[in-house]
Amino acid sequence: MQQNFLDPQVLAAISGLDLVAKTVVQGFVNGLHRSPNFGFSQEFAEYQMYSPGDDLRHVDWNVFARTERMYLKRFKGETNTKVTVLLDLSKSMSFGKSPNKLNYSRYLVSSLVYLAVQQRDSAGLILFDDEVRQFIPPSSRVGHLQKVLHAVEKAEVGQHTNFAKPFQKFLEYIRQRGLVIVVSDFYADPETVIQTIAPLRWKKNEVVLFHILDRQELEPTITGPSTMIDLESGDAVEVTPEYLKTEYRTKINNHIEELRSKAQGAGMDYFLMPTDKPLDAGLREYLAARKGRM
Amino acid sequence: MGLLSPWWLLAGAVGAALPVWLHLLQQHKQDPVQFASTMLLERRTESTTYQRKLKYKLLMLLRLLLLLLIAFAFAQPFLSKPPAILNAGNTLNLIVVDNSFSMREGDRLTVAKTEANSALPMGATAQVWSMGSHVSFLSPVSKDRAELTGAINSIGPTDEKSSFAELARALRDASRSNGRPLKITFITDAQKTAMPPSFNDLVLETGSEMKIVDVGRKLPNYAIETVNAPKTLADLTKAKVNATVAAFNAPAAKKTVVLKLNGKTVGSKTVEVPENGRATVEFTGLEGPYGWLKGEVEIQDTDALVDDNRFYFTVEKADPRKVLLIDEQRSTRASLYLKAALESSAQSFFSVEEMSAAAAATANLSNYAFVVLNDPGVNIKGIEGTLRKYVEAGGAIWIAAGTQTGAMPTVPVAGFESNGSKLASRGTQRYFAPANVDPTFPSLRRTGRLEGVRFFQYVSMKAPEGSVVAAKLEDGSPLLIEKKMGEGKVLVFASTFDNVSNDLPVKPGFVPFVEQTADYLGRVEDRTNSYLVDSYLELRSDQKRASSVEVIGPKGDRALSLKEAASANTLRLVETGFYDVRRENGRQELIAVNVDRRESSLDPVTRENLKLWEDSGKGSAANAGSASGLDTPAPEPQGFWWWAAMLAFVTLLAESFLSARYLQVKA
Repeated sequence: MQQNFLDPQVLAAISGLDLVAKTVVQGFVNGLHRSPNFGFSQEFAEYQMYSPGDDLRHVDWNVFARTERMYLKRFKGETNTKVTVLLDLSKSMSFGKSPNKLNYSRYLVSSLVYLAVQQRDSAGLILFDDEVRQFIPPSSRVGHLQKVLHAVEKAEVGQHTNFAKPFQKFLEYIRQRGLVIVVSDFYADPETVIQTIAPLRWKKNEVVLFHILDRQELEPTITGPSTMIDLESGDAVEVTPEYLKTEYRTKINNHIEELRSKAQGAGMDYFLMPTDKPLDAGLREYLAARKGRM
Repeated sequence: MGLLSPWWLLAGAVGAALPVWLHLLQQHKQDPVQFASTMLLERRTESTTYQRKLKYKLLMLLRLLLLLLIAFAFAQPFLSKPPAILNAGNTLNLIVVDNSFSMREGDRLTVAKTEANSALPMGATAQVWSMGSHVSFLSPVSKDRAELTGAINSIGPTDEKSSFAELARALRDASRSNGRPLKITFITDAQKTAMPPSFNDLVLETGSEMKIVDVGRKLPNYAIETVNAPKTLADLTKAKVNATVAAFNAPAAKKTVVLKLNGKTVGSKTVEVPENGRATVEFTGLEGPYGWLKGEVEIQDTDALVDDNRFYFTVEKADPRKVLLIDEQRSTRASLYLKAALESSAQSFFSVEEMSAAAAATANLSNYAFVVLNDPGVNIKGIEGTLRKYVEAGGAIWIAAGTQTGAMPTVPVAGFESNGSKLASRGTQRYFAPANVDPTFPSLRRTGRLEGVRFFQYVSMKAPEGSVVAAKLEDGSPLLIEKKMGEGKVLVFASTFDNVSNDLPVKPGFVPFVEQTADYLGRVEDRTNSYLVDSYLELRSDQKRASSVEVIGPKGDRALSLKEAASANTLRLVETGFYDVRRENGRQELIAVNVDRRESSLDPVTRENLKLWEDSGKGSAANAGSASGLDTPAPEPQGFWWWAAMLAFVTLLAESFLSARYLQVKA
């Protein structure tokens, strides 16, 4: 039953992203049967090698006394990070039905932000198409969640996406290391996409890519020969059902695999999120991957 | 193949444009589909167009076919060729056996029937014909060998004359009506006299295969070719009978010729017949009772064909036939001239009996050969009805119109409209001369066109429609008019025979005129001594009148059925011998019938000519052309519009199925 509530089509019927996010995250957390107290206890998390410049207060001197090596003792409560979500508002994000890719992305972003706030992480938001449309710096203050969710709810698709252009500015906005989540349909050459996003990794940011695609983009079906109009450029291409069933699917799968492999090669996490995929399933994968890293 | 309503095809062509237009319109309609990005799409224009056209073309072709089939069905197509002709293997075998008179020679007919039996095909359809002057179908088209053999065995000899042209015509008709090729086996003695004058008459239809089995041989033969004998005589002792004996491919020989009357030999003579020549025998003086006598002239010896050694003829022995002259004026001049003219002829056997109109009312007119009315006037009215009945029953009346006749509005009995009596004036025109005399009319043949005859008085009358004007006067008035009434006839002479109204009685043409007219009206001229087999005997002249005629054949049986006796106009004479004919008016005749003597010549046609005939149906261009020039009956058109309608129905089902599939996929 719980799974039904997380169906994207059911979520689309719920008004208010805060309620959607709450429904998704709480339902998901309840479904885990585990304590959600990440960062709220003094539970030991890990040892980390001391490097010059680290705060000497965190050095475990007991270990140093036994081993004469300096380790920093880290607790979970101390792993709070700055989560910045980059949401693509290119016109291609308006493709799809019940929900379209933008709406699905809204649910996803809301859920991620909600989840971050629940973990006492600070969450920020950047909305972009060719330009950066809105930037909300990460914060964990009270009321910040509502601000972010409101911005997400009011976001509308813009024009064509030029990955290189806005990402150059992101480096200016994201000065502290943290978690950068990019939600987009990534309609660009995978090499270009990764090269554009890769500089975020230089500041030791963890980068997670959520690749949003509609089922019609993965497995398009048409009854007869049709002229396909590009939502962004308006270009028309005549295609046949046979082409879409064979060559196009091969190409889109190759595109996904190339993006995945290049992202992982560049140290990024990549998650393919078809809009018909239940959000909890996507978040489960994401958190499982995140847990492995922590 | 043809079309009874070809303009429907035009309507179909216009209608077929509709689906073409619709499908072209649909081809250009293409709703664009919005897609997130065409980055990964490649254009497939050619394959797109091809596939679309392929799918829609199938539907379009079905719709086009449906419309065209409906139009085609309404155009009512038909096949002009009979279906059987399409089946070339459906050959009809014809076995034709010649059973003409010449096949009586020796065992020709037996050999011919044996050959015919051996020519019967195994398991194939065949028909048996016999051929003389006419073709007879002796069996239906059958595969039953017993039936065909029975038909062959039933063939007997006839007295007919063979005619290859008649057979060829029948074969052409059979080929056209059957609509399939013929395979003919013709067994004959191939007489040369059976060949037509023109070889074109023998040409067979293209595709007919013919094989001629010649069972004949060249043999010498003698025959009585002709007999000349008097038709009717009062005194037989004066009669002369001339017979011609002919030798066909035969050497010179002495032949004994016998004359028989009613089966009794009355004369015998020996004659020397030259090689391939003819000799004449004359018998003088006959003996016999009154009435019709059956005469025969016969060669005593036997030869190849025995039956042509005998020639039949008839002679009638009778008292001179009476001619009734009804003359109110009691003028002796007319009867004098008529009597003198009739009795002066050696061949004549008429005697004139003069009577008044009142006396004639009680007389039995059927006893008279014909009746002469000399200047009939008012007094004749009393017996006019009797005279009319007499004529309509087959009698004849000769009217000489005088001044009394001219005083009446119509000519008695004949009913011609009279314009009164005309007299030549004493001025410049002193008489009327005859003009426009028809020398072929029986009364006027030896009259020298009545030249020099002067007419001083005549009755002007109007010739009614249907009458024959044999002579006119110079002013255009009819002089001699014939009108048929019922079985008989009326001859009207516009003047008299008294040498007052005209000077004809003292002119040289008078005697032949009277004599020929008497023969004509007394039906002496109609008779002949003998007929040939296959000729037709006229039974009645008035086709509208229902009268019964009785004919007894040579074997004593009735030659006519009851229906034929009441309605048949002619009788075909098929046997040699004597036919006894009893007409409706009680008159009896004896008819002698003989074989056409061309059958007596047993000279066969050369094998080369027979080969040419056999090859005439093998389809050379010249033969095909000549065959097509004949009167070819138009074949019956065989419609097949329902096949087109059935096909249209099937096409409609296929179109519905296909379009439903398209709609389903689209939905």
